[in-house]
Amino acid sequence: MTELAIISLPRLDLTRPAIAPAILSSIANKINVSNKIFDFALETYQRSDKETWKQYELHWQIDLDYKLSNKYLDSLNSLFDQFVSEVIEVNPSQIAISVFSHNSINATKLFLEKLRLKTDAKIMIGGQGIQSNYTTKTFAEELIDEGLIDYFLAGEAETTFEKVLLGETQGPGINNFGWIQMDDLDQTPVPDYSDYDLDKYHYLESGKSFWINASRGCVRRCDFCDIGKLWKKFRFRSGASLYREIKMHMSKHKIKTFQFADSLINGSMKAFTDMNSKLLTGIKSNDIPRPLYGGHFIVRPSNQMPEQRYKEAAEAGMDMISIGVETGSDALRFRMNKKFTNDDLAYHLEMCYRYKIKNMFLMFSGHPTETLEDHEETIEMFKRFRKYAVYGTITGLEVGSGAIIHDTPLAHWATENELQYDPKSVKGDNRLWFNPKNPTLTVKERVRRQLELYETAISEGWPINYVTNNLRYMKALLEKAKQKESLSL
Amino acid sequence: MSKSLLNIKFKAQRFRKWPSVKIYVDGDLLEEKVLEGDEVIASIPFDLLDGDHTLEIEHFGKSSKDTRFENNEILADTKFLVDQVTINEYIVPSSLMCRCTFKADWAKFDKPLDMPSVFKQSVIVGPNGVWSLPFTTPIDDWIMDQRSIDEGPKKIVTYESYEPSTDSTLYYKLTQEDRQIIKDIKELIG
Repeated sequence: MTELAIISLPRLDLTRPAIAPAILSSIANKINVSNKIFDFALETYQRSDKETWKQYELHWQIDLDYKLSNKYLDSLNSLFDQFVSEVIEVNPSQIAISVFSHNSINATKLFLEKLRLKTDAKIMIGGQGIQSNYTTKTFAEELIDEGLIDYFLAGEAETTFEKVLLGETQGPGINNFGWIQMDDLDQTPVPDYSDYDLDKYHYLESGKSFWINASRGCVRRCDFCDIGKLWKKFRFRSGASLYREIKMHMSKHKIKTFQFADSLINGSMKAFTDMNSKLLTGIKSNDIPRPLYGGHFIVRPSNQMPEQRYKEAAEAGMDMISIGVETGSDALRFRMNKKFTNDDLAYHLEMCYRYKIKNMFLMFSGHPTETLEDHEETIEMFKRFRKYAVYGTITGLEVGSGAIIHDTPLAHWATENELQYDPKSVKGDNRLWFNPKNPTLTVKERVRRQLELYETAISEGWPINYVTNNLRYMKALLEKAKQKESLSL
Repeated sequence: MSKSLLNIKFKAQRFRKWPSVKIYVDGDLLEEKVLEGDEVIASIPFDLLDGDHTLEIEHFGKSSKDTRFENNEILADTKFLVDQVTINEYIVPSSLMCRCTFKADWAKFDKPLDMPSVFKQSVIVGPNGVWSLPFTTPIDDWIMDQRSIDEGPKKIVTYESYEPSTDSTLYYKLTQEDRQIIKDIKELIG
C-alpha cells in the first residue's frame, strides 16, 4: 500500500524531473510514510500527440483564457480521468499536489474536481501557484471553500509538510499564508529522485540532469518579478552542503549535469565562490568528476565579478547560464531595477567567451514604460553582440512580451500611475493593459515590437528559442484583445 | 573600411635568421614580412567580395643552414607558428583553423625520411612552403554556418523548455508554420 501520492501537473518544464515532488518524497521517507510520485505533467506530454499537446499548452496559460475545442476538451477529460484512476489504484490515504505556478491552476482544478469524487483521502496542495489570484481569493482559499482540498501549505514544504503528514492541522503556513521562511537552508533534505522514471525526461545535449537548489529569494527586486513577494529573505546553502548533494547524485544516479533552480546562482558572491571552491577541490582530488552546471546568473560589473571568478566558475563546471538582460536600453533596464549596463554585459560576454561559458538571453518587449527609442536600442544590441552569437557564447534567446504580474513592484507602480487593465484578465501574466502615459504602446504595438525583435534576431543569426510556441501565443493574445475590444488594443 | 582587416598573429623562432613570409589572399600578394620577434602581428587592410577565399602564407628563403640538427634531433630552428587569424574582427575559431594545410617545399633541403609533402591541420611551419587556410566572407556568417553544419541542431537550456522540438534548438530556421503565423499576426496588427 502507498500511504502518500505525490502529484505534479502541467504546466511544467519537462527538461528534467521536477524537484518539489522529490523533496516531498524525501520528507515523507524520513518519517517512514510510503509514497509514490506521479508526474502527470510528463504523462500529459507522453500520452498526447503534438498538436493536442500544443493546444493544452495554450489552455494552461491562464491569462490567455484559451478555450479548448470540444475535441481537445474531450481528450483532456479522458486523460485526466485516467490519471485519477491511476492514483486511486494505489489507494493512498494522503495526496499531495505540487502547484508550480499560476499556469498550473487549470490542470490542478480539473484534476481535483475529478479526484474529489473518487476518494476520501486527505488532499493537500502546495507550491507557488497556490497564492495566485483566483476570483476574489487566492487559488488555495478558493479550493478550500469549494471543498476540493483539505489543506494548503504555503511557503517552504520543509516547515509544514511533515507536520501535516503526521496529523497536525494548524500552524504557520498550514491553511494560511503566514508561513515563516527557513533561515538555515542546509537543513533542506536531499531530494529523492528514486521514484522517477529518469529516462523519460527530455534533457539537453549535456545529458541527464537534476535541479538543485542553492538559495531561496533574490538579491534584486526587478520590477516585473514576483519573487520578492514570495520570498522576503535571501537565504543560501553552504558550499559543503551543495557539494555533498552533487556528489551523492553523481554517485547514485550517474548524473553529471545540474541546473540550479535558484533565482540567481551568483546572488551571493560569497556562496557562489564557496561552492566553486568546494567543487574545484573535489575535482582536483578526484573525489568527483567535473560536473556541468547552469542556472540564472546576474550580470555584474567587473569590480564585483572579476576575471578570476569566471575562470574558477568555468573550471568548477559552470557551463550554460541564463541571464535576464530584458532590454537593450540601459535606461529602461535601470527603471526595471536591474542595475547593470550594456557595457557590463559586454564585459560579461567577453569573459564567457574566454572561458567557454554559454549564455541564454532572457528578454521581453513592451515594458509599460518602454519607448520607441528603448526598443530601437534593443535592436542595436542584437547587432552589437552578434559577435558572441557567432562564436557560440550566446546560445539562446527568449523574447517574451511585457506582463504585469499581481503584487509585483510593477503592478504597484501600475496602480499608482492609473494603468488600465482589462477587468477580466487579472490572473497570471496580465498582458492586456494600457498605459495612458505611454499611449502609443498598445497591444498591437507591443506585438509588433516583439515580432521585430524576432525578425532582427533571426536575421542577425542569434539562436532563438520557442519561436513557434511564442508566435502562437502572440497570435492568441491579439485575437483575445480583438475579441474583447480591449482598450489596450 | 576599418572593418576589412586581416590580422595574423605569428609566434616565431630563429636560428641564424628570422623567418620570412609572403602573405597572399586568393593569389594576390598583400604583404612580404620578416617575422622579427617572438610574437609578430601582421595587420593588413583588405577588401573582398563575398564568397570563398584562400589565405596563403609562404615561408621562403630558409636554407638547411637555418636548422641545427644533430643526432637525429633539431636543436635550433628557424620556424613560425600561425597563432591566430582574425578577419574583420572575428577570430577564426580553432575548429576552422584545423582546415589549414601546409605544403612543404623541400627543394633546398634533404627531405627527411617518411616526412610527407603535405601536412594537414598543422599551424607550425618549419620548412619552406605554403601554409593555406580556406575561408568564406562574410566571415561571421561563415563561422555560424560551419558550426551549424558541424554541430547540427542542439537542445538548449531554457527557462521554460518544454519539449525537444525544433522550437528548442540552436540555429533556428523559420518553418512554414512560423511564416504563416507571422503573416496572420501582421494581418491582425493591420
